[in-house]
Amino acid sequence: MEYIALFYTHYGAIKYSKFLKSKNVENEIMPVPRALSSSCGICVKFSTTIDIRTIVSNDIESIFMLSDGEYKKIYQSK
Amino acid sequence: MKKNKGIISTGLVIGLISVLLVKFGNPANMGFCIACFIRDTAGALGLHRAEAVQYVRPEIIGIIIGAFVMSIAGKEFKVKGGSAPLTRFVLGFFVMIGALMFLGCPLRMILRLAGGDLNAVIGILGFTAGIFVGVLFLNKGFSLRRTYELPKFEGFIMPSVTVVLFILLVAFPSLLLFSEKGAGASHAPIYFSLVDGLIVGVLAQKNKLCCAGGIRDVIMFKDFHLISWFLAIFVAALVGNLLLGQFKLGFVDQPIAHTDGLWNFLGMGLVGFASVLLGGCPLRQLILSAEGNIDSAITVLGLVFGAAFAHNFNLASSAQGPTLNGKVAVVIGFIVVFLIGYFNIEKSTEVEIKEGVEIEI
Repeated sequence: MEYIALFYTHYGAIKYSKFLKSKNVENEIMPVPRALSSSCGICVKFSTTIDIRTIVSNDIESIFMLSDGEYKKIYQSK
Repeated sequence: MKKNKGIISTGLVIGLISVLLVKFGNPANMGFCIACFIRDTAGALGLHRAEAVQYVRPEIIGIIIGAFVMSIAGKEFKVKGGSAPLTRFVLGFFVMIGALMFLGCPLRMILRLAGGDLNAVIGILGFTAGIFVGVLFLNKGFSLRRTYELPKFEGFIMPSVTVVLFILLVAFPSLLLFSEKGAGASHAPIYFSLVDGLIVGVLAQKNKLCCAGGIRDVIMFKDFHLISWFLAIFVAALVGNLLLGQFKLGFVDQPIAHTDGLWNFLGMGLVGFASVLLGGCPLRQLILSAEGNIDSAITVLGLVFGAAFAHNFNLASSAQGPTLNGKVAVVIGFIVVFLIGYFNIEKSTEVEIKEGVEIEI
């Protein structure tokens, strides 16, 4: 599955990217796409077969999953 | 290129609007300048007594209301804050000190270049260098920590204040100060400025325009999307200025500008550095404040305070050049922003995984 995770902070994204790398999950840090948020921060795009519920960090604000060519929000931190 | 089409059109529109605002009365190369307009508004409220720069600029009001309405319409009005508010106030303060050293925010910097003012090239170099330093801090772990959801009421304060300002401007002008000469006395008709501000507010919110973010994305990701509007503004304003006879190439005798290259570089360097740590340029802070971001509203107050301070204590440059007080303030600004950067570097590289997470698929 392909996901994009949005973060509360810039550094949260950098840390999460390294975390994914340590789990051999390929990922890319990039500017947050406008369609997903008006935030001007950075996000992490990754593909994995790992159960997403087990890799949600405290730094993540929301997660979008690619489904039928569109990104659908599947998680929002409170 | 296709994905950049919308943002490029936006830049072209803003560039043309800027040229028209000058044509209809705004100071030269100042169709828009967030720093100058906040400074003028602070002056109109008597927060400083520099008589040449006192006028409630309807463009600022329009930008905030336009972005507010757009964020409501797009269901993006989210009230949040609590990410190092006082630090952001101080950063906003020094963004203004840097901008008033150069005599313009990043938006006016590009408009100055489009008017033929080559001092702006030095400003762009300084701005880019400042952003580069800021990015180094970001990559080292700089963070002002996360935001939290706040009561909705908070988010309505900033747009409400601007509505009150507009009512004062049109219905009770005797309560405000107005420049009789100088930059503050040069302005387009109120409703023309307001509508132009509204258009920019709507477009800037829709496309999350940011002068610092565009250069940051190029440095960090070689991503040219967000910088494309900045370039489009330049092209549109350049063509507009050439057609309307508002273009004058050179370093000397440029409107509301000075030729001290070192301090133009350092002034915009400070703006770039502090803007990256804040997560956005002055325009972006205005837009975010309208979307319910209270941290950005606090930053805007820092900009207001910085503007008032700069004119009360003779820190702002003039056409004659920078002042000694201004140079000292910019050096102090660099020291303070470096300290803010250093002391907010997160040491921990650990990622805390949440348990019991619910996913909606």
